Amino acid sequence: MLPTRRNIKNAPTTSVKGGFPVYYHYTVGISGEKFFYGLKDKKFIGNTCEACDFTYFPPKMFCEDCFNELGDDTYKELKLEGTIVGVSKVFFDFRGQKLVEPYHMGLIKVEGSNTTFFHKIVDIENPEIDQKVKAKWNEDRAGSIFDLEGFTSS
Amino acid sequence: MSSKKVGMVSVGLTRFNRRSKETPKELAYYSSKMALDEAGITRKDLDGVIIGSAPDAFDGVHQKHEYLTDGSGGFNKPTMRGYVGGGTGVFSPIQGWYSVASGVHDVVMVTTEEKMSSIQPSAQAGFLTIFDNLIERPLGPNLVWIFALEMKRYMETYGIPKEHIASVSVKNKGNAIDHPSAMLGKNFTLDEVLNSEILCDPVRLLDISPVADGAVSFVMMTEEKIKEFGISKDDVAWVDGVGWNVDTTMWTNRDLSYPKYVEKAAKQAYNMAGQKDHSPEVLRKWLSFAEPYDPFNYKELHHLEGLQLFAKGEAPKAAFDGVTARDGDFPVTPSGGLLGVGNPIAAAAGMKSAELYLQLTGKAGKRQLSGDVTRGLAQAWGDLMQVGTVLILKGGRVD
Amino acid sequence: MDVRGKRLTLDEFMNTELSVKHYPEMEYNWATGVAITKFLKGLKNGKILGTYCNDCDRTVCPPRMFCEECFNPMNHYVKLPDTGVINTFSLAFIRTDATRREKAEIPAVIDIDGTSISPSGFLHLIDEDVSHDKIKIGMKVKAVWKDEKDRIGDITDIKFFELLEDD
Repeated sequence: MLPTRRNIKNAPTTSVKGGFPVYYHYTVGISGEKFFYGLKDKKFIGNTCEACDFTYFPPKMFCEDCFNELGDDTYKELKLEGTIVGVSKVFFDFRGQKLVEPYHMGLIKVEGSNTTFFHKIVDIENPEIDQKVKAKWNEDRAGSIFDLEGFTSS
Repeated sequence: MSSKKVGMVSVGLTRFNRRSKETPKELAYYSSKMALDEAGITRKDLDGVIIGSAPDAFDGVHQKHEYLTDGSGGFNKPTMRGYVGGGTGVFSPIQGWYSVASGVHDVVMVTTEEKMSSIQPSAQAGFLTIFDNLIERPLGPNLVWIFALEMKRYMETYGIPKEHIASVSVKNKGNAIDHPSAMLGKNFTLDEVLNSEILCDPVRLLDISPVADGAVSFVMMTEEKIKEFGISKDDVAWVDGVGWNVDTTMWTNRDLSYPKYVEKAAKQAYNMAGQKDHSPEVLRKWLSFAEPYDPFNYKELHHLEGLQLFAKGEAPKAAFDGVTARDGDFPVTPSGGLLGVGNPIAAAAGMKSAELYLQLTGKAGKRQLSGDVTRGLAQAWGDLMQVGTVLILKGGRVD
Repeated sequence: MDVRGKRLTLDEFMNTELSVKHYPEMEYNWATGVAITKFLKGLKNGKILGTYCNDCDRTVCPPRMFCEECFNPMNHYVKLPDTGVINTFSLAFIRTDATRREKAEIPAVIDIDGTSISPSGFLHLIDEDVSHDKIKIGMKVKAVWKDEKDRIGDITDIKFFELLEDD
């Protein structure tokens, strides 16, 4: 994919087009592995820093405050319910094209965690802050964020 | 210029793997936690954090500063990011130095990190953007072109035989056997290097350092804090001199046989350290060893000349004759360098800066140089053959 | 020294079910700016242009809008010959995407005649049909242009540089 030329007749300035022909393959990391296998099993796996009394969901390999390593024994299963902390209705896609079916994105405080989790809110006409929601799973799961279809009313 | 004395009190390193399981954040955590533990302090004791990571495009995570902040101990703290390509590994400790020397912070932690494995189809594809977007990329270049062109000019200008250059690969890859983080420590023969797969003549496969995932961290603080934390002078390496310089991106308008920007950065560092005589013989006595940047074997030699440590055209023969071996008159790259330990862009020179600390405090294990090790120099290079960054550290008890 | 970092083999890395792949669509449309626009227009017309700084008394190629030494504007464009001298070259057996080529491409830095600082030129290619042992640093070369109808104002309007035999 080499740069190509776009010529505008009589234009005083010209431009060169180009791209960056790369793609990415990200490892999910130490805590990520536990999180994604959890999703595959229809579980919410988080972990807790005892010293700070702070529960991370998704889990973290280290506590960002006291900087202790959070080992295997700190991981736990959280409930599949939570509360809506933030919500927004999305009307346009990534390229700025209007969506046939607008959808809701939400920040959900999963019960038992001190962090918020970002995902879709589905099957709710007008989701509201403080509304109680629960996880809705997809049939086919592969250990990815899409194993969760979203959060729906409980 | 009045500035405070700044000491490096610990280093932390990860293994350098071609592909690591950990995310960049987790790699940064390993090296930062190690640096804190070695210094005997906690994250709460830090006043500021410096993060060094070169092009976001390699890890594939933009806003790498923000992304790496928590893993570097920067959560809710003042943080700063420097970014000069490969020069970052020395530039970040320089930023750590001026944060403390200026009095802004008393205790800082510097973390350099890179995860080269994320970019596909190969790390080399990511280097396409090094070329000018308007008049060079249409030619379909690849990274090795630049090095091959510079190596050829260097060899031709001084009549350097390939054997002399290849000996650097043998030395560094062999030295790396003794480095715990090393990816590729191995005893190659000169013939193996000379006959390895041809890529862009005169560059062959074993002339090049392997890309890697890795992170290196440092803790730096004022003299008062060193006393306060009860850290012994034997565990400190003082910052003696720093220098940094940039040339233009018009690399085709430059003399490719000599890195002028490295000379300028080096002189800035030497002058700051009070060393006004820049002749090679004097400098090689004043310094105990050097860690010039070696992404390719000829670059180590090119940089040694830019650093004024050898006269123009003389470094290759010195390397071939063993002057720069670990047990030679003037050891160069005792760590094993990028050629041997690996090349995670920003963390690569971080590893070299860390080697200064380890040698000066007697913690270099099997790599420890014999005799009096009082002063070391690390130099990094980056961007489009433009950036020279230099760091000189001296041992805790040296005046 | 206990250093950490879990090494993965190529197989483990590529074939784990748990990786996340991302295919960014990054397209750019770069304005060529004042100086390079003129340079590219020059190439379309079969000419190589440079700029002259009268404070520093130097002619440079590729042209720029300002002199990086004295920091004054450079507006004086000069037509340069399409000949030059090989500053350095390489025989490249790998492509941008790291795949191998059977026949080497020959990238080179060509110092263009008429520029007053040496070296001053740009990156280009030497005719890949040339016999490799003939090419030497310091040899004279000349640009081989595409036909006028095929030139669009791009660095590739010059197909490559050919060797000029010594008289």
